[in-house]
Amino acid sequence: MDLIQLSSRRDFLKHAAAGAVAGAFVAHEAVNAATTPERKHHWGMVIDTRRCVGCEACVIACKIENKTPPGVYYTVVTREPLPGGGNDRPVFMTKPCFHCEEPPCVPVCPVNATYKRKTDGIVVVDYDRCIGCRYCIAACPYGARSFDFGDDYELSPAAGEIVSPEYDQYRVRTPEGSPVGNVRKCTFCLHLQDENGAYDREAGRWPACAKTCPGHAIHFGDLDDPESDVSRLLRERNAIRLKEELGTEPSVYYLL
Amino acid sequence: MMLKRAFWAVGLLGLVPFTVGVYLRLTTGHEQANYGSIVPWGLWVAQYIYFIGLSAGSFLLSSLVYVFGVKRFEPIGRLAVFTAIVSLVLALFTIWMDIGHLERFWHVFAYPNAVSPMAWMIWLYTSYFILLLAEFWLLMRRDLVVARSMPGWRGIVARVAALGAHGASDESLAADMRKVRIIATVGVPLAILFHGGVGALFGVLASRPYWHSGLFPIIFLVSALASGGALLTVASAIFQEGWREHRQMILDLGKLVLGLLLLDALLQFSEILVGSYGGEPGYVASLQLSLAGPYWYVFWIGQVGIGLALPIVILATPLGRNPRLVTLACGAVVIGFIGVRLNIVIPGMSVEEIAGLSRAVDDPRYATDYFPSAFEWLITFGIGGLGLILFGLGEVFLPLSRHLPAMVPARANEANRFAVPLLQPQLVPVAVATNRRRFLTTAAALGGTAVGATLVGTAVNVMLPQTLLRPAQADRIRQYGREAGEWIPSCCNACGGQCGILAHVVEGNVVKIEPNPWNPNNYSNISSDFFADYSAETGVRQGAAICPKGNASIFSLYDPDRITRPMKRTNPRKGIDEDPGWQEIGWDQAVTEIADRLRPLRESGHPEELLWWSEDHSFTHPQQDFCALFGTPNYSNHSNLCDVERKASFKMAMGDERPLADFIESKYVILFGWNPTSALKWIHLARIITRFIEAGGRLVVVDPYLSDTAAKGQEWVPIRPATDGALALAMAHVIIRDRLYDADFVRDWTSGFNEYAALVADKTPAWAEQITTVPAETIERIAREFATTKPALADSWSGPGQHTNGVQGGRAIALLNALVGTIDRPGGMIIPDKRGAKHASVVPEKPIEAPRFDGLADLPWGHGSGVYGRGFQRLLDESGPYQPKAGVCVFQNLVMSGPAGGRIAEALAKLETFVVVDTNESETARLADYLIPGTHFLERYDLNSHWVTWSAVGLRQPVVGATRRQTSPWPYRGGIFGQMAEYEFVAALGRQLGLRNKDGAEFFSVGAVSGEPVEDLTAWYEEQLSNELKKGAPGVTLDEMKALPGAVWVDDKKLTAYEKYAAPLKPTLVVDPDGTVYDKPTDDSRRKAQAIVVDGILWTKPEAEGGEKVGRIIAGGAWFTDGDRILSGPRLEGTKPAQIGYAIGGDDPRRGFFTSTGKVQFYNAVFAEKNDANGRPVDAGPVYQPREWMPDAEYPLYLINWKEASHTHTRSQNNQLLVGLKSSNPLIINPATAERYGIADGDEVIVESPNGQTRAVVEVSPRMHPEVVGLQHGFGHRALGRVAKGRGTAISDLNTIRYDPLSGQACHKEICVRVRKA
Repeated sequence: MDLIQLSSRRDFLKHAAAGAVAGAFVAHEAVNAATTPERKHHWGMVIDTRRCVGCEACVIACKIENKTPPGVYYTVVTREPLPGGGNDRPVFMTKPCFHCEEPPCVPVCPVNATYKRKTDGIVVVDYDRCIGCRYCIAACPYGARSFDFGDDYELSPAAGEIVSPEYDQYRVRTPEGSPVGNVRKCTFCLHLQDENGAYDREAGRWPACAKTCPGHAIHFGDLDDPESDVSRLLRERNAIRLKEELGTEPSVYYLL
Repeated sequence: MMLKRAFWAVGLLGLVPFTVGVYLRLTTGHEQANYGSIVPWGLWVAQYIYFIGLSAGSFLLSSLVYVFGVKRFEPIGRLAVFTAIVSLVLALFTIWMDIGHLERFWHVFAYPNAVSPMAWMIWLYTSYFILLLAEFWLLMRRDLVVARSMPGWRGIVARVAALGAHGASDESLAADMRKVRIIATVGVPLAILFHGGVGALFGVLASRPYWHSGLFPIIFLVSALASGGALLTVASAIFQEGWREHRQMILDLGKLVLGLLLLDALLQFSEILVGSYGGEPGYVASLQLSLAGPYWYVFWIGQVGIGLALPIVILATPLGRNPRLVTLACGAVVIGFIGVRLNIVIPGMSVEEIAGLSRAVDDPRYATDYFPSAFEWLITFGIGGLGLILFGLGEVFLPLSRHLPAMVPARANEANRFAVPLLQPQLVPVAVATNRRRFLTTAAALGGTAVGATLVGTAVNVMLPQTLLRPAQADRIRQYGREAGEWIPSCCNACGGQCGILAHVVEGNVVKIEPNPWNPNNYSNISSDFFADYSAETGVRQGAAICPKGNASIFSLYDPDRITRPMKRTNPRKGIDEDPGWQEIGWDQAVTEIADRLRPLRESGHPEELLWWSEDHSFTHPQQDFCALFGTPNYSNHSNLCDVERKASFKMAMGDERPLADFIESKYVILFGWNPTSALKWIHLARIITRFIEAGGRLVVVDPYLSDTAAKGQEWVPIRPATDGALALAMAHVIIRDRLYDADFVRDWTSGFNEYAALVADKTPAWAEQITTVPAETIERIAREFATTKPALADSWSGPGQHTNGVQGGRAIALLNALVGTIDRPGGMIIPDKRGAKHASVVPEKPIEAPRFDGLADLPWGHGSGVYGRGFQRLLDESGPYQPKAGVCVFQNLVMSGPAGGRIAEALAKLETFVVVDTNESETARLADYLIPGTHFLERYDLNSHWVTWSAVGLRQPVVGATRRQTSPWPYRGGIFGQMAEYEFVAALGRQLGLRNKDGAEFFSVGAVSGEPVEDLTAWYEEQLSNELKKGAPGVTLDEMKALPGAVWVDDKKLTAYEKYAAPLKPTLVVDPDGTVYDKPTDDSRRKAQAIVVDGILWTKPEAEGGEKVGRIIAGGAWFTDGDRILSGPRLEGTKPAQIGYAIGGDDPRRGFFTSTGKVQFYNAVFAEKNDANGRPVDAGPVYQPREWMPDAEYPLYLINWKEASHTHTRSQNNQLLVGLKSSNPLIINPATAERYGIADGDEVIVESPNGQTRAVVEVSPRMHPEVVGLQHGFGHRALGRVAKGRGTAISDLNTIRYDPLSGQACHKEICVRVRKA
């Protein structure tokens, strides 16, 4: 094996590698263009804190809808006072996953188990891929994710097997099966979408928290649709998002 | 030797926790770990980065030898690499235990994410691991080849580990070393990237300010070197007898460690300095936790004391010349770094990302506080032990310290086996041996697999759009989805609110409960508001609502603590904590035996000796009918535990006992002691109250506690308990003084105004300030705002009510509405249309003559629900008109719900026969002789007239039923366990007793519609309901009702009507030309003569024949009258005609108010003719009297309680979902009060009254009035179920059996206490 041969082989490898990278890039773009579905919706929420009475009906409705175990809450209601009131007057705030446009939880996942759906912006977790490292929980600035420790309600309702409709997969909860050992989070009840990815409020196909809210504080809808409730509210009222400074671009807004 | 022995002992001992821990991990997953969703990483992650640091540090130090050729450290070269390998193995094992799915570790290669720092780390440590193994093998190869000929295990191990290599020449050694140099050189950047990468993994997270620093990767590196160097020093000191044999090397290592340690300290100091001056709250909070939190010692003792100060003291002083001390110092560093790692991981996460997150739910997984569980410690210690064993095995089997001589003597002396001088590798170029190639092949295969998998994974991930691995399961959607099963409309009864629900039933199980949008109770109490958004197809378009209790009620339906079969007591001793010794019995036996014990009461002519208590809104009619037919007047129900004082207050003021506030049309609302948006009895309250505020209305809440409703209002007025009436009087004072009242309304529609004005003339704001603690200026301002903002309303509920002065206080509040003229007007207090289903009362065989046991008749404003308090007192003292022998309690927990529950229990224990019907074994049930399983609302029928201002009826129907039968003498459908529903049980009991009505019919056997015998108990009740619907406003049958949208009948004709009092009355009586008065028009054949008219007066017959005046001609029409009151019929013997109107001014027949003056009564002298239960005359005006029990020096604090959205009375505390929202009821104390008694937040306190004491946990909050302490009602169970028992505090026993002398209301809130630290 002489030096010339060696160098040409090296060159060949180098060129091949460069070619492969370029090829992969072109292929990727092409495949992407062909296979990436268009953004059809941008589901989001506008939560009116003036209407929230802090009853936590949303918390329970969510738990019953998604059949989540203890320790797993897709939404919670905080009741912290704003500073300066002097009497600790609580401000009630329901806090689902914000389905950020730039979700910090997604890039950190080592196995691509959590991702933002291209069609509608919902951030999901693939229970069959997630290894349960919980890095995404650490990365979420909003505390929107829970780990499924495998805890079950000790006195769990004796009504048959517990089947969660999440992701339309209708998994039966077993001690050793997913989503035990997985990270879980709010999905905007995407299992209630129709085949076109749309919700239907009148048919009850609407996120469980919004559906039960006694104060009607949780507005849900398509932020890309200028005629939607949520878009109208954002136009007409002053909304804020939490921790804007992180650049996460949450899809959940609060009206104060 | 001793050290070594200790080493082996500790190592081997470590295998015990290791085995147990790993076993637990494999069998129970993470269930027993203590981290959660706010602190998702715990001890193991800290341990992981600890070992990773040790590995990287050791390896980098080895590079001094193999890359930079520092000869001084040659003796520890191989040890360093070995240490790096062992540490890495431990690290990887730890993190493997930590991930949720052990079996999916390969996903990191198959589905890699190129931008995840964790993925980088995984690639780096995989490469690093392979490289380490390669380097180590090369370092050991020659010795392994040599050692193959060693006898015993050592030889075997060497033969295996040599991987078939041979060639023990010095040349081959030199070749190895050349390779080693290349590999080690590659390893240096890899190790730096690798461990820096671990730092980056933390550092990149902007969500955790404590970690989010560019210095983090650097600190990780330096600290790795420091800790790795320290470990190496210790290892070489112990294994290589370093302090004896390599004294100088140990001292040099010590100096190196010192330098690294100081550099690390500098970086950390810089990090802390910059971070704390930066003042980012999340960072500061983490730092505070680390420095002064509950685990402060980890920082100060572990990290600073042991890990930094002690080693510096040794290494930087002459002490550092003693190799043993240097070893000690380095050992301290190794230990101290455990603290460093813990303090990176835990405080960084122990700060909630969103304020209040950890308090949002009561769940241990949502805690910011983290301390490892025993299970986590097991794994940690186990892996520590595993590390020692691995080191030890390396020591035994691998010649780490020195190179072996080319040949091993046949009988090598243990002592001089290694007594061979160090071999200096000669850098002689030689050909690569085949064995090496084989090794490289192996390494390449390992690495190649990982790389290949990663490349393929990357390609797949990049090329394909992301989708879930498991697609939607169409068959399961059909089986379980929204379209599966049935959605059955019904009504909730998680509380008394009766909201509409839709129950999703799949395969016979209720899986979800959703709001019923056809039911006005779920939306609005005003018809215009409801119908504005309503269509028959979809109900209200904006959607309806249900509260957390309704949503969670599946958990109470399937509560495993439910009673499923009738039970009979075997223990004759009765007490709450006395085990009843239940014995399961059949329905046949239960019904027969109970009937046998009740029958003698009737047969002896004393059926009144049966007392009956029932819930308010459920299956009351069959129970009332049973009592009537049995012959006891003693049917009582829940209301007098709840709000009968409000009923009395409003009845005294305006003749209606249940006006409903029209929030949505109001502009100014004052609520006294009511928490409607949280207590949420009717779910529409949340909507209409927030909507009225949204529309610009102002909400003022007067309450000793800043309730969750007050939180929604613009103003909270803290007030001393039970002084609300005084505040209302002072407001009236201001309004009248400044002539701000609605003069027209007062003139036309009220009576007694002048007396009232005189009454409040001296009730100045200054007077009220003394009583209420509300500043006079505030009273002035609120009064003016209230009177000048239109429309305004004032409403109250149980806050002011459950006191001995509640009725008159409530009356003063009610009258504020009269002053501003908003009674029965938009935005005011609306008198609801009470038409609904109609209960036709049964008439017994013989009329009941015995008086009620509780002396209800003595109470001037008593309520049909009875006087529980007085009844229990009489039962206990045996001071009633007779002593009852039996009691039946249906769906009530008297012991927990009444004031002085312990006394109530004693009273109930006196009953010879006590039957309790309930779903759970409540405290009251534990006193029963027979415990009958009740039904959950999803298992039974009822009709619910609603809390709205026009007529609507909702159907509650069973959505689930028996899957198996329980035997009974009669057929019935029953609940999920096959148990009888309450109405079925009562009907069965009625049948067994053969109860008949006055027509001689067996009431409980005859269908109400068909009039035919009905055997099936359920069918019998269905006919009852059908009858009530037919005769009531809906006029439909039960089956027709079921078919209505949402199974709700809503009157869309007679909508919310206002100013009904002003409606002119249409005469119904017809006066024939001959002066005879008929009840029906001339052409109606059924008409009957009612009276004759003489000179405008209606007489029963001519005066001369002894006729009576029964009415008169007013405005040209004939009316039955009593004074100016217009009646529904003539006052004849045995009848009591209702007031249907009033002749205003004597000659204007209007509906008026149903009071004795036909108007709103500011003052009524007639009241004073009555006495209250204490024999004291009733005040004619709404006079403020202090409540009976006031605080004194000994018991200086008021104790109040309230209801919140999370729980219903004492009923819901066994529901795990609701307990997840609120698991206990802390006693809330104002900060000033807490300070006075030396109590801090979270303290356990003893709350004492003269009647008893209890324990509570304190929450200090300015939301509470300084003179008051209080808590949410309903906790503190001693029974009910496994979840409820022992949770929180009950205060009932601090009270006496106390009831209001006007209305009979139980006075739950009239307690004075003192509080001290437990």
